[in-house]
Amino acid sequence: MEKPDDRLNRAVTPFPFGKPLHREALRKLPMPEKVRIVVALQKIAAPILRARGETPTVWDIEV
Amino acid sequence: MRATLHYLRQMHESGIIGGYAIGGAMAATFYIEPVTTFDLDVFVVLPQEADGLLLSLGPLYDYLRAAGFKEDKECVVIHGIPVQFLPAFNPLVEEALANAIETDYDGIKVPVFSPEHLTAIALQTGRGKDKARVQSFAESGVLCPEKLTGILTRHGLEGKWKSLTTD
Repeated sequence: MEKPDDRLNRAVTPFPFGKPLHREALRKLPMPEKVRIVVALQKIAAPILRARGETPTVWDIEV
Repeated sequence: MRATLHYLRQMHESGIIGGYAIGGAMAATFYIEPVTTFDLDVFVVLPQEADGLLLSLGPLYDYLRAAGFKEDKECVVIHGIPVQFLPAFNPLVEEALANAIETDYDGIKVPVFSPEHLTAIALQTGRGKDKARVQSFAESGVLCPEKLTGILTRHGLEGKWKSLTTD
């Protein structure tokens, strides 16, 4: 039977490598998918910028 | 996005703009992970006016206005995307424009600044987000060391590169 410590180690070990791997995966995405992510980021940032008095335009990529 | 890039291509082919290339955050996104940006930076070589050396974006904006596109602050919204046209304003950007890489976006040919030139421009500009972009490029493995060294040397940016990448 697996000991609790083993399960913990298995969960924690990949952590230091998680962020670089995630960034590498993002780098390799096709450009249209990256653009969809940029628009998702814009939708997150826009209300914050509007609260500061800025007027960001979220892209309409369906045109 | 595709429609915007296609329209830029048409503007180039019909002589409204000369050489052009995508720069800034969207150009970086072609090579590294996506980052938040709200405009598409397009660096252009403007056609020379017959009677003088003064280059102006005025005729370009007049053309786009006549085509029905709306202005949005310093940008023009072309098919849903705010595009900022920027003339090549210094030797590094001129070199980046002359050496842009023809890239494919969903079947459209798009000239994009090289990752080495984008890194050098970010070093030269030096805002917080530019420094973050330099770090992303440095860690990405997409930079050609020889090409980057040549650009940094030509434009006096080796010191900035060292100080940013050895911290």
